Amino acid sequence: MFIETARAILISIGIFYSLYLFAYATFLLVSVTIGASELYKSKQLNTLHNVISHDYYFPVSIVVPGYNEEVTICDTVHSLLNLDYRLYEIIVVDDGSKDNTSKLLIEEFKMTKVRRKIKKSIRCQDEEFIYESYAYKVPIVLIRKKNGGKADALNMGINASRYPYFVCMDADSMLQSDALERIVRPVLTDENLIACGGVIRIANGVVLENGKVKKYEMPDNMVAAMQVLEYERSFLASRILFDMFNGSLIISGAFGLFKKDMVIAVGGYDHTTMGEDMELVVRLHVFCLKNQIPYTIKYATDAVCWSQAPDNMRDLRKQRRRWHLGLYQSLTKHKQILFSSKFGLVRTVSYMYFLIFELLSPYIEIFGILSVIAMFLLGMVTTRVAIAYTIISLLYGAVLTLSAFFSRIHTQSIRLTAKDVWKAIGACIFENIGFRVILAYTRMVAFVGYKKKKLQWGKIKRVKFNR
Amino acid sequence: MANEVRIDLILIIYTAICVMMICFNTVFLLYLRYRDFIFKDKREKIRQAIKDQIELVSKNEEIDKQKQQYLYRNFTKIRFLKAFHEIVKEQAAVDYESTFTYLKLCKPLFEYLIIEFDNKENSKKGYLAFLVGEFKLCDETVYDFIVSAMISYTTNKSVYVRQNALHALYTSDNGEAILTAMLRMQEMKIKHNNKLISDGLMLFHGDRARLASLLWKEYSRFDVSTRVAIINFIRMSTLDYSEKFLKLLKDEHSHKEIRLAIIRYFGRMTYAPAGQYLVELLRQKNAEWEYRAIAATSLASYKNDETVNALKEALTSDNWYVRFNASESLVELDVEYVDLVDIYNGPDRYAREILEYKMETERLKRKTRKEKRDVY
Repeated sequence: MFIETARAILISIGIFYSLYLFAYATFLLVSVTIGASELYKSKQLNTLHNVISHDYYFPVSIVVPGYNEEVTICDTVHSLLNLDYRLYEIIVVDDGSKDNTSKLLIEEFKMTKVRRKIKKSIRCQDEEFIYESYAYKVPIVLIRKKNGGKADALNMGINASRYPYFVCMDADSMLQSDALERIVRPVLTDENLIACGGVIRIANGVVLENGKVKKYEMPDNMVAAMQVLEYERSFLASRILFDMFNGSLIISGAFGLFKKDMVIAVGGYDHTTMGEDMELVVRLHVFCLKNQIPYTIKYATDAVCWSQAPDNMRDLRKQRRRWHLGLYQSLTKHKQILFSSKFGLVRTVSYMYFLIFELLSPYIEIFGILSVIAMFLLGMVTTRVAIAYTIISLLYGAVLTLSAFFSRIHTQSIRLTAKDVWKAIGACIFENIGFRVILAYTRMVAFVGYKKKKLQWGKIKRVKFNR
Repeated sequence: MANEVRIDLILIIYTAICVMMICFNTVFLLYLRYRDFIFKDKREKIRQAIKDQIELVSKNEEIDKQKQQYLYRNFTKIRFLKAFHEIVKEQAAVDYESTFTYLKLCKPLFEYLIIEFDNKENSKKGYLAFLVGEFKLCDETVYDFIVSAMISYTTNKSVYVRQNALHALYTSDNGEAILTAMLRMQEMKIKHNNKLISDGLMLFHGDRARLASLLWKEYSRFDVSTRVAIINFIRMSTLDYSEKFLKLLKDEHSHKEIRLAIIRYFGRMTYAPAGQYLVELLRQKNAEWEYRAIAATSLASYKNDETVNALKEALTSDNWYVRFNASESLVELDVEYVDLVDIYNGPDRYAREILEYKMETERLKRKTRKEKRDVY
């Protein structure tokens, strides 16, 4: 009787898992195909000069929050000074670092202490001191504040910003010299635009000179290489597709442009969540849809930000744990989306995608694999079928990732060496064999002990940029 | 597990599709390289043809009809057109005048292209409009075929086609054509960003004052956004519309965005009666803060006791932006310390702090400028 019940449960799980795999595979295939075709179209538009190329756009404030960023902060600010853009300001917010972040900045950029009071349109911790420099092509402002987390630092930056649009970026990232111009362009073509995301690409293995890519190659480090593929796939798979119906739920904290008054209207970044970047975008959707405000949230597929990826599993697992908790907090905080038809495709496609294929996926995948193993042990599946099933699933994952990667490379006119191609193929196989399972497990156990660390900065080991 | 087999099959099919996508990318990439390789010879032929024609033009001789026929036959191919574009750019760097004279002789080619591209995708029309602008092919009359095509492009649903067509029109000194295009866009309710319009108008190659007067004549036919663009264009061109604008500014029924644009205009173009009105506006406690804040900024161009007093009063405003802009203007007006001592020693901490900060940053900027001068 017990065996019978167990068999029935396993069969149900098996059917559910199969359906899940089918839905996910279909979604990935459709979105990667659409994404690749959209990228191709946009490349065509660019070559045929169908772009808004303007000498003078509008001023933008760049907010760089940081905590213990002494290794990269000066490089980041130098890269911002190399931007091909006329009018902007750089605001670095040091969130109470314990290292020399502020000291290095003050020395490097010859900054002077000023008696400035910040107007607090959004609540945030108080400033400790403010330094400014006018010695470069744009003003640089350093605000040192009491530690309050990344969201709090971003809110301080927004409060201090002078211009109607602001860009948020990570202190360990570098913008390509044309990135600011490219992320701003959509504002001129769509007056309802309230936020625009840039493309985050992995900087490991890339040499940048004056904000331009001098050398591109796949990183030698396998953990970083696997992330290159992962980023390219997710960019094609969800970002471009969701962009087509104004359904993007994430603009990465590493590089995004926002309309300031709209962010202030919704109360700025949320201090209480770990995924403050996603939470803000979801809140903007909710706010605009509820109040019937016409709005657009877009992706600028050619605005590139190079970001350092963790190059060891320990740091990577830490990062993914934070992301997963942030995802959980963002989705549960705005669960009203799930129960109201006014959210349209944001509900039926975007929210459901993040709920099923991102938030719940580690549980489904791990239980699915376990159930297949149990079925195999109980003799419900033959060895041949189990092996075939596993090989085909892995092959599909690897080939899909490769096709997304090559589509991206192809549409960006990047030339890869044969060595890079082999690295990509190797990384693809490794990713599907072990990497995904390890990350799925990491995300599954993300909630263990999260309350203790929920408002801390997620730290990974930083290295100097290749400049 | 009957459905498991089916899922396996589906995954195999999907894998095959992905493999096909990779193959497509690879084959397509190889094809592009092959095509470039093959096109090399053709490109050389085009280069030679264009070079020869320009040389004839430089000698005041007639261009070769056969070579022109050759270009004519291939012109609709985008690859050919792109090569033409690149080669002409190269030649213009060598002999600008002859190249552009030759391009004028190529107008029939572009007219033919306009007809050919009529039912083609917008990206091609956008490129064509771009080339018309680059090659300055718009004539001085609205009735010119290329000009009227560009005017019709300005109502295209693609923002890029519209923008490139407007750019093409700006390269002529045909103000009427620009006015016609803008009115057409208005009639068709085409929303084109007003910053693109006002900055674009600044690129106009002809007489800006005349263009401004043409636009002003039809001002009432435009919507608020375009009106703001026209005012901004007049402001950036520093044309004198003070009297007309002051009347509009004083009319409280005027749209807020228009009044704000005019306040900015008076920050650039000083006009004593406007200065008085701005002071009144700044002192109006019940006026919306945007009027007061921008008036505070514009008053930096009106140095007199009345302005300084009004700005000092504004330092105690409830609104942070009004205070901030007023302090900035006081610094810009270079008001002496003795005239501000009542603020520094006064009871209003906010007024004092903001002024101190602005003075401090001004000193910092001056010091930096001096250091830079010393270095050079």
